Amino acid sequence: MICIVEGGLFTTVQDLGRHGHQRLGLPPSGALDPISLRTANLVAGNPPGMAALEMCRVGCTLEVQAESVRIALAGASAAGGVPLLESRTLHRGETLRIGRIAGGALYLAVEGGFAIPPILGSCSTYTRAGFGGFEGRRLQADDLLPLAFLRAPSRPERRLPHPVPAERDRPLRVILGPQADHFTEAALDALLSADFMVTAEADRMGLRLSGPALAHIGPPEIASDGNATGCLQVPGNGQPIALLPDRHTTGGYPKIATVITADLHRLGQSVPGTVLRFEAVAPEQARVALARLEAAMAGMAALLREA
Amino acid sequence: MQAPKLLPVGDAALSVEFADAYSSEAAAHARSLDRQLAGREGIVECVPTLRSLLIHYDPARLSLRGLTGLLRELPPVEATEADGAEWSLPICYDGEYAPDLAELAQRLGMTSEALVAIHAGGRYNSAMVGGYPGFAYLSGLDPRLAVPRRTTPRLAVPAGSLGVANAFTAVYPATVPGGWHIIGCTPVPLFDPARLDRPALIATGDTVEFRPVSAGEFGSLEASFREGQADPIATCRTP
Repeated sequence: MICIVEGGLFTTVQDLGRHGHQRLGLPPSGALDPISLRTANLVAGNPPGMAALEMCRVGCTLEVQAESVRIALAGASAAGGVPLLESRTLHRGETLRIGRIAGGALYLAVEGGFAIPPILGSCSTYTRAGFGGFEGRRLQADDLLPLAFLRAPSRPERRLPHPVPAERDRPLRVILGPQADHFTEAALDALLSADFMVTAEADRMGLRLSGPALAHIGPPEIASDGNATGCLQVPGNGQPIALLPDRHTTGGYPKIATVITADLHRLGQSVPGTVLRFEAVAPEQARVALARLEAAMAGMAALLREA
Repeated sequence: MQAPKLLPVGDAALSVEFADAYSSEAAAHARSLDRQLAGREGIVECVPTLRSLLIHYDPARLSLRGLTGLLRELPPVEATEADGAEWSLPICYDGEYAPDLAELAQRLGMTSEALVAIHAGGRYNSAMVGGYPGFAYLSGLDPRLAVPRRTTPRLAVPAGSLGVANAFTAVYPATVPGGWHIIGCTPVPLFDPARLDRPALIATGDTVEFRPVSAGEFGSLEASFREGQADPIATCRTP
């Protein structure tokens, strides 16, 4: 078992998402930053999509109540100086305190994973409907998370020299649409040239952004159609909302553009105060960007070293 | 029918749009295409909506070009009649279960009894499930009952509440914020993730009728579902 001593701000169990149920109104959920989740699992010695703890902005404090457990952290760095990208074995009674996180999400994977049954094909927590993960909610003090392994397998610790290379300073790449034609020329220009700041209204459903108002042509609503993670929907006030994995499956606001898959992990690391910029690309460029990211991810395994 | 519009939604989804607004024909086309695409390589899942089908695909396995090519090769979709399961949902249209009924009836210039008779006499089709888990937009509402949403949405509409707004009626599967006019309530648990074969009772394409019940019958049904003595699916499914 792992005992949660302090839950942190918003710590949940997440994997790569619950797919196949959006037709019933269930969002995919899953990691805000799937690249970091996969990286944490790589270092811990797990399959890439194994469920881990996702900690947002302030991490949890946990105590080991098993003989031993091997952990690995990846994602935004923690102020407490806990090293990322290095596996570590903690023994019974040891406490790990994460504290403040300098970014959106930090992942803690345990070797072998948590002994948590999947619901509808996934261990991701969807707190709004109260199911998945650990009791369908964020973790709090005194929660006991069961582990799949009684003790950490005996082997050298491993580490990665660096995270997956990401173009951190580049604007987030978007494909315009599906309703770009519902917006004025000036709105499209502003979307692709102005700064948009993430406001305090930010959670796993979406990020409300603040920037120049993006004006609609005609009414600021459409007959509901499907949403995707990364969509920038724009309600009547002209301020876009970037949709994240716990988003609604359908919605009635026009969507001016959609962040490409290769940049969703960077969108997921955004916190209040983060300034976002957007760059339009063609579908073919999105395909190349994703191929490049996946090639970099595949190359990470070869970089693993004994610590 | 005109050729549908193909609108990329990022690089992992494509919206096949049959119309700008809801129509039963557009929704039926979306469901028909949904069935044609089931099980195709690279398609993660499809979401039929009021007027379109959103195809979520895996961009590592299927390119946009490959997907549009596949769509061109498919035979033209045909709108079919209601094609899903049929349900009869018990509804209590009385008292505390129907907080907006009297006001809405007055606004529409009819008695509460007349409003209930019109609503309960209808036969509805699930045009889209979306927004919340198991929230089905039921089309077929009598135009005499079509009103815009409440000007002030409620912060918490109790689970089971039956609402009307615009051209639709719907039952809230969970306690969530909402702006529909509440004219009744069902004791049937509409969404249960542990019900693995059918977590959401009403799927897109299903047909729904409402059966008025007294507050007393509401209470006993609610207790029997809560205590596991009655199965919601077996209780509500009609042959």
